[in-house]
Amino acid sequence: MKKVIMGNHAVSHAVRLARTQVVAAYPITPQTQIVEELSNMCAEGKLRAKFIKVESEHSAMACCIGAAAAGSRAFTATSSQGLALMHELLHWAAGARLPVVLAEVNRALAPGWNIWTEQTDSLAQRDTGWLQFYCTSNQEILDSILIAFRVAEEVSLPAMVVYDAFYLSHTYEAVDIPEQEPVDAFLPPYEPSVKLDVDNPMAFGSLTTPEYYMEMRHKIEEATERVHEVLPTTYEEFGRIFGREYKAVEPYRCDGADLILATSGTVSSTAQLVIETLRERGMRVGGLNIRMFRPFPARAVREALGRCKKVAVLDRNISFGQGGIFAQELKSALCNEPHRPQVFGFIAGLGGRDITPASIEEVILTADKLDAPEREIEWIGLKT
Amino acid sequence: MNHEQIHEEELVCSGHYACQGCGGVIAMRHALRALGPNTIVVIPACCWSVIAGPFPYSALKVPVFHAAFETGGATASGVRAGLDMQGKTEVNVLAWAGDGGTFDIGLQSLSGAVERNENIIYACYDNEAYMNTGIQRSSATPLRAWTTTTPELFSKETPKKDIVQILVGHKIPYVATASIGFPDDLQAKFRKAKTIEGTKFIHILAPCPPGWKYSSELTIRVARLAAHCKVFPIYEVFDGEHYVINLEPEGKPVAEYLAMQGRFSHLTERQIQEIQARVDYDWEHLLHKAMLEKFEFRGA
Amino acid sequence: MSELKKIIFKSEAEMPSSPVSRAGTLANLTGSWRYLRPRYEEKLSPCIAACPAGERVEAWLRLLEDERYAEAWHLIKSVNPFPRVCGRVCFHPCETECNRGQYDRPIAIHALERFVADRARADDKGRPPSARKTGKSVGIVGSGPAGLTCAYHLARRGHSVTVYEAEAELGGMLRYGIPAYRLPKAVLDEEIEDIIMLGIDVHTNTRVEDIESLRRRHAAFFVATGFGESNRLQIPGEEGEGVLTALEFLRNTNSGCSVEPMGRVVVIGGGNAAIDAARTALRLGGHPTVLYRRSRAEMPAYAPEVEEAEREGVSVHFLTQPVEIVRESGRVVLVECVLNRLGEPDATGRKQPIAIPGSSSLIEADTVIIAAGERPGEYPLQIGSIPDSKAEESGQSKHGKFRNGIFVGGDLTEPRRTVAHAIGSGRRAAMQIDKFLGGSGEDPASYLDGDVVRFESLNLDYFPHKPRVRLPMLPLREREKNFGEIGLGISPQSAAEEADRCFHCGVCVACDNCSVFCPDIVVRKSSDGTYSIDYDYCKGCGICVHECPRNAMSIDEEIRT
Repeated sequence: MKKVIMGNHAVSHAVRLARTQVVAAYPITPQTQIVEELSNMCAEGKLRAKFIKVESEHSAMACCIGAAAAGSRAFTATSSQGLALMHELLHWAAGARLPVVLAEVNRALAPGWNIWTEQTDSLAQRDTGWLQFYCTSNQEILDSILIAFRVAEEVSLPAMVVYDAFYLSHTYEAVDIPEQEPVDAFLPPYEPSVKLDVDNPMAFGSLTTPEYYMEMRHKIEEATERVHEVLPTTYEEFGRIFGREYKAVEPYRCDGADLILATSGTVSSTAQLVIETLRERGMRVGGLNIRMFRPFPARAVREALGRCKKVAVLDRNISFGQGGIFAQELKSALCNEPHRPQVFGFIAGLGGRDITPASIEEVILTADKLDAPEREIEWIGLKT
Repeated sequence: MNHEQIHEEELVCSGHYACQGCGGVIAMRHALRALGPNTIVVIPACCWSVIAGPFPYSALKVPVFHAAFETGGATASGVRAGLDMQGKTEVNVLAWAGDGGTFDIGLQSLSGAVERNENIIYACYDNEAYMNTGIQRSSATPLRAWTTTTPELFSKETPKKDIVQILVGHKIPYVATASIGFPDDLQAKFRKAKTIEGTKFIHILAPCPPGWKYSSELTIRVARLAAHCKVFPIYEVFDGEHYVINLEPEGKPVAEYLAMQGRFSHLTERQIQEIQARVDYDWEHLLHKAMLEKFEFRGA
Repeated sequence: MSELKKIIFKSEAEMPSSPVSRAGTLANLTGSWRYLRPRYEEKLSPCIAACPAGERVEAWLRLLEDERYAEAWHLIKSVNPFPRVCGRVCFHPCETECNRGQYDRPIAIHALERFVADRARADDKGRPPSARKTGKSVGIVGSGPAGLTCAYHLARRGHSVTVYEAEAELGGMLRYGIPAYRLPKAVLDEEIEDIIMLGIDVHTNTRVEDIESLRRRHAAFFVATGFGESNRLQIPGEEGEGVLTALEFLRNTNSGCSVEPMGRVVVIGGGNAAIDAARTALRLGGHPTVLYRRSRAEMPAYAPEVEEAEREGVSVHFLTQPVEIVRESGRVVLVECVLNRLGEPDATGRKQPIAIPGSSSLIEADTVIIAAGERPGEYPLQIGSIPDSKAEESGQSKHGKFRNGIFVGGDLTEPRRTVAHAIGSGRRAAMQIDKFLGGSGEDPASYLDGDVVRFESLNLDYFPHKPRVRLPMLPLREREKNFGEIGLGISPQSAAEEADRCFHCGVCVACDNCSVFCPDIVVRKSSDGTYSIDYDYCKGCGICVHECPRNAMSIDEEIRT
């Protein structure tokens, strides 16, 4: 059934369809409507879940961890400061191998207070062991939540579904909301191999000495790597059931491209429009939408970018002192390639500043005219 | 109490990693004995994180979830919700935290859980400092006590936080103090907690030989003296209103309690008198609160 | 046990996906941390150590607590055939030594002994089965508590026993020395009857003049003829009518001879016999006054008896020493006294009375009773010698044999001449005689060795203060002119409550403190109520030892080889 809904409510519907058992959340703009809608769904009996109205995001994650350890499917949503507050427990959820799913609405970090979109909050959590999916539409948000549960539970790792504040969270789009039956077929009930069970008592997270700690970490890495195998088949199955195709990395008009613009989130949609225009002008330019950030799809990225001469990366985020985070990831994925392209890093749209088609065109044209980057970081749209 | 019964119902395993004479283990033994095997324990960072033993061993014969320091209340809430959603409403969820995880870093998530009146038992075994990290002061450290961060020349200048009053302020169904010196009372309180719907908070005094600087065989004596000197009264509060004092203190001078512990060895006579005055005041205050209701001494 | 095995993962593949622990901690043998080693070690209760009769007081108190009256009675009777007597007349050193006395007040052991024995005698007349006859015969000369106790134990070991008693009835001092208001004759008769029922041959009115003449009848002898002779004052007027010794007076009264109206009675002396005589005189209608030459503090009589005598109306004059009994026409009319002051202590530690010159006074008297101490009669001297300190030094015990199988005991050998000491003496003599006759000589009171538990070594946290049982007494009014028993029995409830006050010093009563408070969960209790410690895990914190309320545990340094 197609319905015009905001991105946040797409999350709520997905959480309902996933038959999530425990929701724990704390309000924060621009995420709040997700949990407001979930409260309504619980109140109306459309979702049979225990909604824990916690006193902080930190406790929200702790609740999800507890619920998942007890064997229930758990969900939370947050943004920015809230995600930063959760940081410690993001590590905990991954280390405990609990497939909690989190909807993260990208929002810039204070100070000063800013509620508009920026990816630094989610990307700053890249080393926590969470899977990260970035979305470009409300439909993709809904689908990604279902896929995130499925993959997370399969590899026993937590996953966050990330999308832009306001551009998606508060923007209404037509979304195909699946029926319950196909969702049930795609996402079976959560049945962990071990859980807190009085009939089979075990201790979770005991003190782990240097004797075994490293193997525990290695197992997390192995599980994360396994996503590269699991995800394509999952996308394939999802496509069969729901008729929508996804890939970890989506090339757009990359055939014969000399320059490829790499983006993530809603910027990818805008970028495609700009690329279309430039192609019409005869420029050999393509686009690459990076949907999965963790694990980083390095092989797919190399396959997509290996033959072009230049790559421009547009980052709506910043790692101070080193530039855009996607740019870094791309560089590290490409650095051992024998014919690696030049990588141009651009920072734009921080704190929710518009990334307009003009600014994207500026990025492409800047990279196009230079043989090699003049600077590590090129800021777009700064007031001079 | 009958010992054969104790061993049958013993849910703490020998070979655990506690120091000699650890009050925290005695507290756990009796709490679990009262709650029984149908219990899941959530342990935020505290001495018990170590006592329980390293992977792949666990000193408890019930399921344990080791949780982050400040998440005792929240993690237990999540476990409760997770169990309830699977219909396991009869399983006891016990959050088992030290004073640091309760009075300090965990106070927020505890308050959150308590305000939501989660159906959990939250027990704080209080050894009055950060013992696991080597005896640093917490807000549960008593006035004038020595710790490694409150040296003799700069001993703690503020009194112990009244955690019970904080919990009572949440108007939850059951708040109680207990002591390892009175295991029958302690067990009775956990058995009672099992039957009450909503949040139950039990504050247990659990003396620590290395941290309090007394010889390990004195753990129980110190605990009993704390109650009999009125330093740690044994009482219950129902629904945030109705106070019942369970033990009539012998009213020994606080000096007797302080003298047993090296952490108070630097006190001057005047400081001891100040502590005595505060203890007397607090006790009077408690009596007044108890007398708002029909006043009585009775067992738990 | 597989739980004891350490788990070692050799490869990552063997390990779970996260640090999930399924094994207990039994593989961690924390006993290696221990540098102190607790152990169960029972010690001797002071009441037991103090009992001259050798009773295992603490143990029968425990049985009494559980209302196991018959067992308590049998336990007492295994050493002492006279619990009903002792429950009434013993001056109970057990209570003096009772650790509870330093806490609040001692356990009223004598009252409980009396309760148990009175009740058991009423409930259960079952006799312990007699042992197989040994065919050996023993002659016992004297039927006081020592003689009868010896007879009792020997008979229980299968020896044939014959008791020779000079008086008309058995009992010695118990019968002729102790007034009926303290020890009713019926009680005494019943306990003696229980002894005689064991098959003892009794010859009363038989004064043994010469042991040697009985040689062919008996393989061994026990001589316990007591202190039958009274000391005299050696003052003018002492000889003649109107003056008699306390022993004579008590014997007359106790054997039922009619006694003349008494009038004013002056009793001279400060021992128990003086008090007994005075109180007896009071009951016979006399007006007794006791004269004692030192002060109350030095008085050898049992203080509560003195107080009781005074309450009944006996007046006691201290520091008063008679110098002459004044007669008129042969009749006693006055006792002339001087007042003393106390000087320096003598060799016995008692302050010496020194007459104050010019302090003479006169006391009117119709009868004078002299209670100046007793001594053995002539008789034992004929059989050799009273064992003295030399005999002990020579390696022979004070109950050692003299002249081939002749053993001596009771007042003749005991430094303290009390009923309980006599009973203890009789029992020990019986064991020696048993051994002499080829028996085991195994003492039923062999538990008397061991460290006595001091008050300071108890953990009093577990003993709430409780008042001692109030011992009911016959009201003063009802004591007048009769010999009804003064001390009354206590109720079963009072007895149980009083027994419950017992600390059980040094004895494990399975209170479970050691296990309840053990942080290492190493105390195991077996079905018979005894505990053991699992040293594989015991870290040696010492809580069990410290929290044992009664010092039934000890702790030592751990010695590892």
